[in-house]
Amino acid sequence: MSISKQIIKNTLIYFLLIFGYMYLYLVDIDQILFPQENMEVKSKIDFVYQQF
Amino acid sequence: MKLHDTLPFVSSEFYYFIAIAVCLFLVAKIGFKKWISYRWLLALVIFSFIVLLCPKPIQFGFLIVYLYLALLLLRKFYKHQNIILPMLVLATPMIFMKTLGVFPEDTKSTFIISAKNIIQIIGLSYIIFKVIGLYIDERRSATKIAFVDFFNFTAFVPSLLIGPLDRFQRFNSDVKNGYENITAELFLQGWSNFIKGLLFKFIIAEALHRLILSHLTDDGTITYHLLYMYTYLFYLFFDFAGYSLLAIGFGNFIGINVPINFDKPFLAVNPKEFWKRWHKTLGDWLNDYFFKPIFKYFTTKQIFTSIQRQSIALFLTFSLMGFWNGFKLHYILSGMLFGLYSVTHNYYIYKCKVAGKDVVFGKLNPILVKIISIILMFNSVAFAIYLFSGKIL
Repeated sequence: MSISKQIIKNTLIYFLLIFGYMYLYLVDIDQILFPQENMEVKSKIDFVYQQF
Repeated sequence: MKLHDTLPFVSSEFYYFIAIAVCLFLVAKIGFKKWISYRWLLALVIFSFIVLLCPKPIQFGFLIVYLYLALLLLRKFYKHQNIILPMLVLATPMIFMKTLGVFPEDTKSTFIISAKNIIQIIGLSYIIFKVIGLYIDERRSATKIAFVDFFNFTAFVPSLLIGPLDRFQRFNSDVKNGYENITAELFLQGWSNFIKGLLFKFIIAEALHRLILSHLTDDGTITYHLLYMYTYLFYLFFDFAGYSLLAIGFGNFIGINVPINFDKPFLAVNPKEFWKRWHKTLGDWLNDYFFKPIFKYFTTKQIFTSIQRQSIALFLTFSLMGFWNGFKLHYILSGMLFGLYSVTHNYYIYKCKVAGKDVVFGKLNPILVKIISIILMFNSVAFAIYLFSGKIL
């Protein structure tokens, strides 16, 4: 992969990571989008495909 | 900080553990490699995780010891070609655990509750798959497998929970290279994988779950089912691929080249290619230790034609995968459906070979054929994964 492509890719990844973190974990965007739904929907625990 | 309550990559405690482990390896590489060898430091780090953070450390220890002793005894005393018995011996804890999974969560039977409490050990399935692979690969070898190497391989923390499934020889060659493997290049590669893993799991999968899946209301319409099916597929992919990338990243930090597990699976044009791109290490494992032995058995016994042997072996292999996911109807049917896809594709290849032309697409433009194949495969996978989710059964 060329250096410019690598830079664009990394910028996008870090941008999404920082903004995603802000909106999902600091701002709690789902509480703003769905204020009427008083439910706990966070899925931070456990991976879907987790096997014992 | 809670003790014995931390699964890999799930809680903040685990990320502190990663930081401490990486620092230990770096410090040892710089100044203490004469004092402690790489394999013993790795064992120490894994042991620390089990003793301090891992749920049910005693049961975990017993499982590792049971599997090591079973491996030693099988290698020493079992000389038959047939590998079914050794596989069953090694897989007994997993079969027992999966059987207990059939009973409802709210069962009142104290026996079932106690048995579940004992046998539900994190990473049990993956540990057993690794040991079965190790036994099959090494059963004719006279090389002694030291407990510390077995322990490092089976209990390797990054891939403990949901893979990737590594092979003993490959893993051990990294361990033998030891501190030499800890390089700036591999560290940067690990960082890239780790950051991507965080993005996949904690941002994209989380957003899909919190902003879409959780708010879908089952009104019985086809729109609901289609929306759920496609969102769940992407959710599962980002969650699972995210874990794999985190595991690869952590492995890279400490000098282990954990094999890749996902490689743009939605660009696959057929089932065979799909399993080379989605949970690749499980696909390879099933191919080497299940499909090939079954096919070889049929060939030796001279039963069925070649295409029938391949198809039966394929169907059985994917059905096993379904059973492995759990003794529940939706898991089993999903595995069988993947088997059916592979069998259908296998017959299609066979018919094309016999006819000397593409029996479905004829002389259609190859690029168009590729696009149609990708769309077909993507939707077939989406349906099978939807079945797997248990939403419709």
